[in-house]
Amino acid sequence: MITEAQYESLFAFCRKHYVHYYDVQVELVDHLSEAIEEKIKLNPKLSFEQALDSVYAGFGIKGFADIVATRMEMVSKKSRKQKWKLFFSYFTVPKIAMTLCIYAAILLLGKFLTQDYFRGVFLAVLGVSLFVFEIIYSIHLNRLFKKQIKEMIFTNERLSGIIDTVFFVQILFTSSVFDFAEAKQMHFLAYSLISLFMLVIFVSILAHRDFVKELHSGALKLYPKAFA
Amino acid sequence: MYGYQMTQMVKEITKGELNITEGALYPLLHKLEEQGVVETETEMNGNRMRKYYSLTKAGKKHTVNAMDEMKAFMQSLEFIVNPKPIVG
Repeated sequence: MITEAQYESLFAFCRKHYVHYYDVQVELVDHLSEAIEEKIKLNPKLSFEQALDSVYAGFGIKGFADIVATRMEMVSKKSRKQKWKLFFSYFTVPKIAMTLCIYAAILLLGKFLTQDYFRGVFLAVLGVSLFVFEIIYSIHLNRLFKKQIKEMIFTNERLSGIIDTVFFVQILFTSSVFDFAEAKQMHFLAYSLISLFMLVIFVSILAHRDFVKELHSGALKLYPKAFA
Repeated sequence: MYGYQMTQMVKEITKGELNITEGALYPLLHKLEEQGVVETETEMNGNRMRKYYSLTKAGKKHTVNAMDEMKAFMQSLEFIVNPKPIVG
């Protein structure tokens, strides 16, 4: 049986071999410790270091590199699937009711905004609000991971896969839709298309929020020691 | 079942004929996890953490299909290697 200090030294061994992520380290350390114990049991003359070298040789010429690379690729793939699933859940029963209500309300409002520039100004205000909402929410969601003390591939996924509202601001201010042929009032079709695009962005923010919450509870359950 | 246990079990069942290398096992397990064939859970044993893999419902179905495919393939191979003489 290897000692606690030797067990802990295996984490340092993983880091030395470029495995910086705790979720990969946990699995490798468990494997190494079991294999080392088995080797020492079969040959009690072997030192811990000798057994470790022999076990590490079993990982082949690339060592841990392939394991980390595949893990990164697979976690990213799985997360992408999950994010799309959560995104599309806002367009299926029962959440679609909320999505449709929001869109109907925006369209209805657009019908009443008949004065010069009002539709454009309203969408600009809405876009900026969405941008502020996204920033505030990102800060809020990041707080969930404040207690995370060990970096993991698993939780790094929270940082990717959101449609940025900056896209919207760019589209609104650089496209000719807003000021086409010096028209003072935005055409209702353009208004409904841009607001649909904004709704998609809003839904993506909500879906991302759901994803990060799931990720956080999953990480807590699977890797409680990664959190203080 | 955890990673090391799998390598040992395969060695034991095949009497050392088949040897799964660690470098191949974990990438494969991570791929199967992404495909939803296996799911994971962790368990703490004192200060030590262990990650267990188990087949999902879809994984069990997938295993049955894969076994059927393998049997059909083996049968085809046998026909090629050992063709039955045509009587008539």
